[in-house]
Amino acid sequence: MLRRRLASVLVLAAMTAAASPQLASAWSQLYEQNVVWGPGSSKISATNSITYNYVSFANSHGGLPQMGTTLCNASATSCYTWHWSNTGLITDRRTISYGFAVCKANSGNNYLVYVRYCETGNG
Amino acid sequence: MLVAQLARSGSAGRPPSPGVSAGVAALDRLPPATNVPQSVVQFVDFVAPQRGSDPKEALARIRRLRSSLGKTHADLYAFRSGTGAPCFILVGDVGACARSATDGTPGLQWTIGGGMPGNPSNLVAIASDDVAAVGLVIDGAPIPVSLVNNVAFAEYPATGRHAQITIARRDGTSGTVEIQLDPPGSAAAELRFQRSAKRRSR
Repeated sequence: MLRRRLASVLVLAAMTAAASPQLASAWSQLYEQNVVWGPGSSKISATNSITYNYVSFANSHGGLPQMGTTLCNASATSCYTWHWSNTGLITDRRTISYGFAVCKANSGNNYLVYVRYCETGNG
Repeated sequence: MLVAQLARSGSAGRPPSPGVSAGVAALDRLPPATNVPQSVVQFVDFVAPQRGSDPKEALARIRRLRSSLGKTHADLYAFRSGTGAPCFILVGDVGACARSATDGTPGLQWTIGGGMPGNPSNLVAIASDDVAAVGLVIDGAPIPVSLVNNVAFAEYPATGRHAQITIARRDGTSGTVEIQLDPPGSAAAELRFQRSAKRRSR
């Protein structure tokens, strides 16, 4: 009896994992790294449930260039307002149930910016 | 001039200390925080090793510098990293962790923007001890900024397009930073194009 109940629990767990492979465990994606960006350059992540977006950068070419982060819905019809900063590593802690993350060099930058990485994920 | 132009005025000749290297006394004066939210623990675990800190030691040193900020009543936590830079997080919203205390605008390590549908955007910043006041102008309109425990905070409508932050130092000098905010509508249009281009390339 106990063995049958255990087996049914395991089957249910396997079915749940198969039905939602991306949500079953924490997911992360390094979607940009080690590039030099001019004003307005940006990159988008894959689509998933998102709970964070990290943007790490440096002013290797001088000045104080700014980088931003936002999250958008899957159809890209709606995005949150950008977060901007001119210091190193920033993190977006807003969440979206199904969408993608973006990192971007501010269009008004007067200097190139070195993007160490943009990384998003959940969990 | 759109971005990152720093102007000094009224200087007696000595350049201002870079970043927040003049010190952030609240990180020593206030007691370490207890019962830190899980999202703050995750932030510390992620950023501390990148800034020369052990996450457990960083968590033991973390302070809650401000409480119940803005419309979402969010708390702000911060710790001093192994490189000397303050790393801060406004729970559920935004965080920053500079490479060193000398990074960024003299007197202020800041983030600006953000917000969610129904919630305003904000300025969140760590100010060094030599800063007397922080000013914010959005699209020409002055916005009140509070400066408590080395944290500057202000809220403004998420429709803002241009921000000017002013840092007034105790020695009478000041500096300004200009930020092009990019309203969310323009971001969606631009990213729809980028997303369809990505699909076509597959």
